[in-house]
Amino acid sequence: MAAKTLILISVILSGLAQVSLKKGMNHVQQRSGSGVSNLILAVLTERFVWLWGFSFVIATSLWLIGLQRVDLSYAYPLVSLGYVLVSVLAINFFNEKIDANRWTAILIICAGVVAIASS
Amino acid sequence: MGFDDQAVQAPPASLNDASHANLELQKSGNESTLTCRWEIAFVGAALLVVCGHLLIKAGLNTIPLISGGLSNKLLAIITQPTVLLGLGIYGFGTLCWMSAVAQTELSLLYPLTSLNYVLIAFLSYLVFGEKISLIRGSGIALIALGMVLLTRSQRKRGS
Repeated sequence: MAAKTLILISVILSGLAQVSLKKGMNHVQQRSGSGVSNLILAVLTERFVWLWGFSFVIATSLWLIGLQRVDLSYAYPLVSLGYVLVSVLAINFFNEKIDANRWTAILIICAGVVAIASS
Repeated sequence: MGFDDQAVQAPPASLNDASHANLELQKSGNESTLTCRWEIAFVGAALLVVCGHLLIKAGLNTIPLISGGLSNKLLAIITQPTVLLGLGIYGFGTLCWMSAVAQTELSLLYPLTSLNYVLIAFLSYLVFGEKISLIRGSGIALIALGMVLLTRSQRKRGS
């Protein structure tokens, strides 16, 4: 698989992992009682936290394999695509609102990502 | 990094409020906290994250490009000492970032991470001789601008 594809998949998977972690930690907050041990137990038994963990490991592995073949100044800025993805997903999963200013910012970041990807 | 900035993801407004309250608490003289000032934590995080990534890339550059399965490639990568050192430093940088986030508003910290992109580009040119073309440089500038705007829109809403 092309290194640039690996980098792209890694960034998208990282974004999805964040959404999963947020969803899992929301559950944990609802379920856990007081005390550190209860909290740790609630975190370790939350399947969305595990999903985050697996996604994180896979995304990191793909990142390392891809980064070996592309410039760091190419790959690193593409991480910002993940912020955009998380913002958009947050509308659907957590009912967060995105106003016109934020859409403008997201479009500017996307334009930057497209510029770097074509460089 | 792909995963770097995970700790950096967009926060719900309620989280901002909570961290703000936390800041107030510390201002009011809670000396028992183990955390250092957020400015120090932030600069530490930026330097460690950037250095970590440069080390990871430096380590990766020493590994010959082998063809074959992904698992073979991964094994070669995660047994490379410089890569491991870079990952460790990167992880430590993430802890510093969390410390900074816990002490002040994310809407203040987030745009500051644009600095990382610029530092990475400059150091990649300096250390690895990567060519920053006009279009790549423009892309990095656009992303940095977008990050600042993204956070400003959030801050206005939060206040």
